[in-house]
Amino acid sequence: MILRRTLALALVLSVLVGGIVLLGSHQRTGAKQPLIGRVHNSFQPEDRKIFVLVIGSDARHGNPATGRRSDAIHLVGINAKTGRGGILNFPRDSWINVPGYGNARINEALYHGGPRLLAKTLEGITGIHIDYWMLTAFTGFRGIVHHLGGVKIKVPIPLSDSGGSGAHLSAGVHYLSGGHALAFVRDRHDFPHGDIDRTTNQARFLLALLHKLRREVNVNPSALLHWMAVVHNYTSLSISADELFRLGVLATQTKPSHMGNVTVPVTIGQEGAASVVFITPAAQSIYERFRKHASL
Amino acid sequence: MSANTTESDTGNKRAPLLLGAIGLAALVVLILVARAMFDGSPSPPHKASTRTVSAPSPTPTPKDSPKPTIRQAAWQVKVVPAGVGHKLTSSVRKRVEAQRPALSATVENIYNPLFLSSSEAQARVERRFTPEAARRFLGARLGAPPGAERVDTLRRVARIGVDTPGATRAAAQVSVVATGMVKGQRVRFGQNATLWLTRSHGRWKVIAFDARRGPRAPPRHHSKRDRSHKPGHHHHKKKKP
Repeated sequence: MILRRTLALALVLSVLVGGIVLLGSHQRTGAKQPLIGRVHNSFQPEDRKIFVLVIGSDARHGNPATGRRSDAIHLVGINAKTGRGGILNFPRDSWINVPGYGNARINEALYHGGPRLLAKTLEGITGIHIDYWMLTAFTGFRGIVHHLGGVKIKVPIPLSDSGGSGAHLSAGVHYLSGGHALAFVRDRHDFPHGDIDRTTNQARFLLALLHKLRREVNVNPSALLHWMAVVHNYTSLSISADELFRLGVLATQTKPSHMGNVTVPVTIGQEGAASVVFITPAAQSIYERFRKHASL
Repeated sequence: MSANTTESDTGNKRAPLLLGAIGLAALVVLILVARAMFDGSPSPPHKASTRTVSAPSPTPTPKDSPKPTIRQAAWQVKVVPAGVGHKLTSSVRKRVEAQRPALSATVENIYNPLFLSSSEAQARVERRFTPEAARRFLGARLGAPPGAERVDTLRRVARIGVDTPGATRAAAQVSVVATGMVKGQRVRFGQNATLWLTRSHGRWKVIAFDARRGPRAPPRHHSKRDRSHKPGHHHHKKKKP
């Protein structure tokens, strides 16, 4: 009798503990999706130029951001000396050489080797030394935008994408909450150049975030600390909080109007049965300018 | 037994005297501590978040510029927790509170000599800033205009946000307004700055800053009419077709 009661109690306890652990892990994957880390072990900005690779994973709610393909690939450069910068956007279907995996779509690098392999792939084709990477997915992106209080952005054309992103927005200036912001940066069906336009819009969204940060910090500098707290709550950091603070300060010192937004020139083509895009030789001069000045 | 009773009676009689003596001693200690606190440091400790750090008082003229007595405005320093998305726990509140004196002292230490003594200001900036930030701050020449004399500071305000829960990073918004004589004319000048600070080994250091010469009107209460009345503002009239 005592043995039976003990067994029953042990069963109830194990179910409870297991449930708590599962809930905890679910919350961790859900809440702490974006990741920030260094590409190289040592951080040595050359001539006060900093390059950050911003990656958007296609991981849906509850899934980890790593081990998936990337839907958004942006190389953000800031020149602390000149206060200028730029965002260089790479369409996800760009057909390039992924080190160790041969020619493939650029978005497969994240799947094969995580953010570091994607960074190395981009370093290989651009010649730019990338300092940090930041990875986010659907849940983390939505959470960050929500807790920052939404972002004001101009939607260029009316959006109605029921089948894909779920974006339904009229043309004009909108204050986008987390869910609407995610729909906006995911929408490619409403745009004439599909993914190429989408990647440009994603960079526009990053610039809108920068604009918001600067506006808030201008009124009250402590706003940066709030932003850091939000990022910290939604991010698994592999860099120190001090480094994040320094990056944040650097961002506040860069005007969005001094940041270029350039998508690498591509031509649409086929590789076997796959529809891909090829980066044109004209991109070389863009890489060179970006590498030299960290601005576009 | 009787001896015990007698001792106890004597003890009972002495007890009020002993209590009185202890009370008196405590009072004397309290007065001494209070005097030491109010006389020794420029400001009394405050429980509220706003405090006036120093009363308007004449400051001795620096050695390198023999000038008359200088009036320094009182510092108004506010230290607040920042980066909070939820209710603060008492331990976090205490941690932020514990940084109040050091943060206030850092900001005051930088700005006290800024418009008065360039050599002293340089030494303090070099001590309180990281080398890179110090080089840029000093290179920006944000002190008093060249040749300024009889400088009085009229307003010195700082609002410092401290991150939670760590209290290791801070953002200080500083505004200083002063007047001085330049080429025989009294001119108004100052500085509006944001200082970004981090704490390491118990010391606060400025890692970066955004500063511009002031004074300027409060940032959030501008109206178009106010702006149009600013000196130096040009009206752009539409050209007639």
